[in-house]
Amino acid sequence: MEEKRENLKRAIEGLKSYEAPDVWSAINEKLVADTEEGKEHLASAVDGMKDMPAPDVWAEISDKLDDSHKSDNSSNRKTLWAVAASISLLIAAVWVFQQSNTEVDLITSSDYTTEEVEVFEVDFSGRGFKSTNDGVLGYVDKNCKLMMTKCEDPKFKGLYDTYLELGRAKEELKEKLAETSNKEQLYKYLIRLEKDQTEIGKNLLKMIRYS
Amino acid sequence: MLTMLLYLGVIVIASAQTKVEVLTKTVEKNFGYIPGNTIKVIGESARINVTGWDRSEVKVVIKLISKGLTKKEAEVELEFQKFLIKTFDEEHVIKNFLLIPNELKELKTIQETEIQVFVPFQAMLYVENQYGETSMNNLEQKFKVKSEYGYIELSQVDGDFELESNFGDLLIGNASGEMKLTLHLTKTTVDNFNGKANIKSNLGDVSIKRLTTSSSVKVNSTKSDVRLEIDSIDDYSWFVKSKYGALKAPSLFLKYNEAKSGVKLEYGSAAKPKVTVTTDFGEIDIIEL
Repeated sequence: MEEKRENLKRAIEGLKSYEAPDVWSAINEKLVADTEEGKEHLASAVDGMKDMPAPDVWAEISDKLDDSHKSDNSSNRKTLWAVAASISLLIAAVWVFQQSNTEVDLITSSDYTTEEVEVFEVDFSGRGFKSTNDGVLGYVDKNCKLMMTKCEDPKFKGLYDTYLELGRAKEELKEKLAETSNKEQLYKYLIRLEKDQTEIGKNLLKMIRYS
Repeated sequence: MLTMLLYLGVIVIASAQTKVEVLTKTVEKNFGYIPGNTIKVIGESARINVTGWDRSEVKVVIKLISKGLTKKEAEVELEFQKFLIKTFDEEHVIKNFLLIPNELKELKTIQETEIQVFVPFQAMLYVENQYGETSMNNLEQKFKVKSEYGYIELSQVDGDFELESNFGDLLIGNASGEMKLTLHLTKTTVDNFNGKANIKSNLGDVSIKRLTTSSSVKVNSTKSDVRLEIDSIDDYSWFVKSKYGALKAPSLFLKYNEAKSGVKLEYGSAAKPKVTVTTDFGEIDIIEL
């Protein structure tokens, strides 16, 4: 038993001469050689990895081997496997870090497009037109905030009011539709309202587009 | 070969009420069309015109128009209008847009854009316009048009074309080929058509005039009235179905019709071009000239 422990200790001492820190240095040097500003974080992360607990682990393993009461061969093997697994995980972490850096670059280029949209979709409030999902009202809303004089035209205002009125009538009719038994007739009336509102909407858009 | 010509013109127009300074900036660009490529025209509140010609190059003329009470205002705000004419891989893209500074609270001018594109007959086309007017003429190729809140006019077109319209008006004159229309809240008139038409309409009325005797038409509509003007009902085989709607048709048709609402009838020889019209909450009006 004692002899085996000695053999294992010698083997572990042999492992101590494994130049793991130099491997990390080599990786680091390579990263620094390829350096770009955005990779500085990665380089410093690798610097941190040089201080990872590997040397301590080796010392701990060695100490444990000295203590014949607290350790045996199988637990040492487990520890070795754990160290190997840790190194693998760290390598995987570096790889994942590099991948996520690439994604960050893509998001940055997307932001440029978003900024353009934000500049175009200016929010002007307090002009008396409500924001809406209705395509006609949305366009009128945006343009009337920009071109007030057009929208103050009495004819335009009249059409605009009628458009809103027909919208309200449609909503009321939809409510009645749920209550009545004569759905066919009401439904036809609803379609008529929808078509009339559409025609008024087209006129509103024409007035906005061309003075 | 590319040529670019840029010039500015200032015109004063007068109306009964007010004088407006009109500043027009015109941009022209010519470039060679690569067969198989698509010419893509994307408009925003623009008047777009696409015309086919017998040359192998594409010519683009963009007019950026600014109307203001003073020349200075018109000049300053004209700069908000932007455009793009560029080739990406297999697409030639022509596009306009308005870029208004964030700090600007109110435009003092009226901004308009006109895009005219001359294309080879064989060019493939995709045209999209929002809140604008689109006209296309003298075309003989495959193309697609998409419009929202706008007006579309097609004339002298022959080919395989597809059109989608949401909220607008559509006029097709002197067209032939294979036509597919998908319409919503769009009033549509087809005048003088020869070919195969497939029309789907929701909440927009469809009128077809001067249909040639070799044409076949399928109209599937909901909440839309359909009107057909033909020389003789005997030139076609018919399938007509109306649910919650009336049928107005020649007496020959009406004898098959037992009720004014809720109609289904089939008429004519199967060997003849077929006209299929189905409506749901819409009237069908067939007129024999």
